[in-house]
Amino acid sequence: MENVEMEKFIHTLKYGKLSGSCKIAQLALQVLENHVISSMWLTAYDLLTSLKVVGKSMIDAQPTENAVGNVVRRVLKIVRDEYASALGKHAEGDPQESLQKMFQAKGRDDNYRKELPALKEAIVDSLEELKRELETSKDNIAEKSLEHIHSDEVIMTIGQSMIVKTFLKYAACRKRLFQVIVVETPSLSGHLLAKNLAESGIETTVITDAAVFAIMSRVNKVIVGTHSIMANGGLKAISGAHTLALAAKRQSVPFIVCAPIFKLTPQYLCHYDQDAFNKFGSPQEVTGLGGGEVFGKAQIINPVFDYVPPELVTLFISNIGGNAPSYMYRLLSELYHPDDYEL
Amino acid sequence: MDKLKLGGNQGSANKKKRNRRAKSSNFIENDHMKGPNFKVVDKTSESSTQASNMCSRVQNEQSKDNKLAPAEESTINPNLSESQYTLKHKKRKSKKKKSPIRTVTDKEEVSMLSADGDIQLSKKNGFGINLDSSGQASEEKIVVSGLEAIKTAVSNIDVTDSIQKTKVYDHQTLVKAENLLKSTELADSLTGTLKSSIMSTHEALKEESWAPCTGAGKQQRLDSRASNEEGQKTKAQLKAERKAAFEAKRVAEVADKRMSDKQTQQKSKATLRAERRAVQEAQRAAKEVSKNEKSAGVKKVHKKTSDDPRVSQQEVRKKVRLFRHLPQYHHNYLLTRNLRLAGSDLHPSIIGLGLQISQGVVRGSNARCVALLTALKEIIQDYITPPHKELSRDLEAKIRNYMNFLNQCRPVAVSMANAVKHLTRFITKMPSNINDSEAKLRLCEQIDTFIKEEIKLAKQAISQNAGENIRNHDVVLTYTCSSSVKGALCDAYDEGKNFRVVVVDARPRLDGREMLRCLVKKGIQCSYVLINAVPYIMQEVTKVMLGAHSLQANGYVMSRVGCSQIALIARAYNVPVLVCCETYKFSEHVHTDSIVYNELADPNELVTELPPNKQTLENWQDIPSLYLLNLEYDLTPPDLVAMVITDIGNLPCTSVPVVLRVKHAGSQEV
Repeated sequence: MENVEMEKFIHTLKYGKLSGSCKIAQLALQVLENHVISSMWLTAYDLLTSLKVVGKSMIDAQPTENAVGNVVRRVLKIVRDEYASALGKHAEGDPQESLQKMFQAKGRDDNYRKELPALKEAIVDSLEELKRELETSKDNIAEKSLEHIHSDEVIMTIGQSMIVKTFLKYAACRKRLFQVIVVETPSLSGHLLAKNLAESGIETTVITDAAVFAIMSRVNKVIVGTHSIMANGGLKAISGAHTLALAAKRQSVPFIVCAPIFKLTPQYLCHYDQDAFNKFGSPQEVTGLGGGEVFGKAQIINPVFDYVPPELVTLFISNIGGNAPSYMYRLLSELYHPDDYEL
Repeated sequence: MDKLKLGGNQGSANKKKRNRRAKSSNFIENDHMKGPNFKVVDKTSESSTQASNMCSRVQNEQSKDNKLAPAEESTINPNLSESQYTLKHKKRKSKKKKSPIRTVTDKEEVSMLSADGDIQLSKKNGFGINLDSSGQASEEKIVVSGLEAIKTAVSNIDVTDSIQKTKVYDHQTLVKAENLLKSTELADSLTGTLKSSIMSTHEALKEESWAPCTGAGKQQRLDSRASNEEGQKTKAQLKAERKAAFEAKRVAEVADKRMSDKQTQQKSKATLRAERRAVQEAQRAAKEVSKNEKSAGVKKVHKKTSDDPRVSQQEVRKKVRLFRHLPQYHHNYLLTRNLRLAGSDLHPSIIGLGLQISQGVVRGSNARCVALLTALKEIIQDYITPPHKELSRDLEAKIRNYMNFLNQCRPVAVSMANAVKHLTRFITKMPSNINDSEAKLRLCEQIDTFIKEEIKLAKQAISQNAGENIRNHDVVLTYTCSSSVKGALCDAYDEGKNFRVVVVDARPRLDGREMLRCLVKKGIQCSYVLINAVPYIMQEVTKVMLGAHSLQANGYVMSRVGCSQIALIARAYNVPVLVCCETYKFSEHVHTDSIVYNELADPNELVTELPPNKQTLENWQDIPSLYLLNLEYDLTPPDLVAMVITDIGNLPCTSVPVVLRVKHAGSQEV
């Protein structure tokens, strides 16, 4: 039964039919929860191994979709934590041990192999908590908007991010008057956001990608969403975000990223060629459907993501609070176990 | 009977005061108008009567044959083009030294002469007369408006007439008269509006320290305009002075007489207070009216579709807040709808050019400039100097007219403006003794030289200079379609250099496809990206080459919107940015941001021609809080640009004022 569901999920992931990291994360969590509940496992070690297998197949369906991998790692961390607390050990004190303990690693082989009856229930409870966290992250972040948007502000954003939309609408509902400038991306997702905001009564202006630097001097804040947050505090965001960040830096405009914490991934940008980092869309989105004899002789490049280095980001607002980019690495240890970084 | 002109006060003693008054008056002055986009706002539109009087006065002074302007023209046409204003005011300026001259009809003159100072206001011409010639238009119109009001309602004409007559420029007499007015029972007989008008008149007069000017006496009225030049008769002045003094005395006498005649001089304090309050109310009401008129006038300016009635552009209803000072039109609206084929004063080639430019058929600053100069050549060849006019003046005026029309079609490019400036400088310097055909020949030669040297040869020079900067295995990034960069790349390829080009493009124009087409046809290896992917592609780029619309005197580069962004990203990746720009595009502007001086294109371009699944903003006009912004140009700060490649060599951005200075010096020698 749960196999069927998993296959369905992998299928939709592979063919790019799902959009929105939140939705994908929730679905992935569902699959893993079903696996925990319905599969046969006796020890935590078995569970961990089987979860890794399932997780890997989901990640391989769409490697650039970091949300799936993040959720898998979260679940693994939950299992490990629950095991540790069930055994009576402290949650902290495990991974980052002293060198001495590492020498006396003999006892580690027994880890996760003890049979604990209450483990399954505890894990399922924690998974439910995680599910709730995923569902409420958007609203959690939106509630912080009043601390960041003052009256008569001009806010710039790019593309269409659900988080940013809820963020801005929350502030507008609480009678904060501000203007929004939306950068339409080549896929024109900015148009959707602009229409939505304007219909709620927020004064919105749509500009082209080319006008970002021209207008930046009159902007007070840049608030964007992102696809993922890299381990060094950098961003994997929609193409065009790097330009926004550079222009904001030049004009000393704060660059604020609103993202739920499940988007934080323990991966780094390894190479500036972005071979493993980026993926490319269809050239038809750039060229349109005509002009074949000209475009056929040229190389059309259409990257989907942009890397934004952490120096250009001012603040991350997530459901667990606001953080500077330099602190993001620290959160990794709270969310994931280092043994799970490589799946 | 001939219409006569009244002379003004030419006494040297009062010249300074007169000049001061001239400066403080509400005349439209030449130096208030700069640049093609400036809308002439009639300062005197604060009060309609004042405006009509003022305008008629201005018009009258401009009329060459000393004829009175007909009544219909006595109000300034709000759609008067800038060129016509400058025309008028060039002449106005020349007369500024002399005091303003009014024309008087024979009828009025007779009436003035007859009724012993009893002023008859001529309604026929919509303007009033002031006996005193030394008055400035401001005081005159105030007096006149006051006079009109008085005339229509007052019963005791004597007193008011005498007040008028005195032309009370004497402060003391003025105060006296005012006090008399306030205290005597005359205040009763006058209505509130009259009182207010008199008060306002007197207040206005009081504002400037009037010296007892020598008014034009009866004799001066009879003098012709010619004799009102500087160095006039002092006898008449003295006589007028004496008359003014006498009249001032007369006011006082008459007022006293009035006081003694009627017995109710002792007004109770309460009634006096009530009267004063009534006067104040009337004044406040008058102020409100004038304020409303002013605001209505201002609103009118905003709602106007265009300055030029020949061009009908439909203004976009919703403008982004930051850009409200710039015009923005719908371009699919038929421009020349209101143009009449016959009798239009526009040459057909200019109309054609205007249409081509506004529809985007002719695009790019070089192309537009060459098209303009070719059209001007045709115009000059068809030109025939009208009788009694000089070629240099008339042709210059016509060209200004055409430029105004083109500006309405699409804001004139800096290159076009510079070319026309160069041409008009040549026209004004032309000697007047040569005949028409010779002059036209010279002008056409000048235009040909300009095109050949400043545009064509400059392009070749730039290609040569740029080619030296392109090396083998270079990856050159360029943005949209610049004719200079296109030429440079093609020439470098012809020389046999082996390099790659990345063409960056942006919505909504997507001009980069044109550039891509030319390069691919040549055989150059190209990549094509949209501007959002530039940070990704910039890591493999070795140099960036951009075109420019113009270079400003403070070193900022004005070019297509998006260039500044590319320069910024290039700086972040340590890639040098080269700008190719001909020297004739250098301008005196010194803007620092892309907002204060820009061109707004049609916002509908952002939402037209989209695939059906992306047409979210089709009805953006119906959503009140939604605005679209479609900018044409932006400014690149000089620190982001490594070098400017021009026809005179490779320069840093900051050398622009040096080049401009050298060019000016050169043109003056010619």
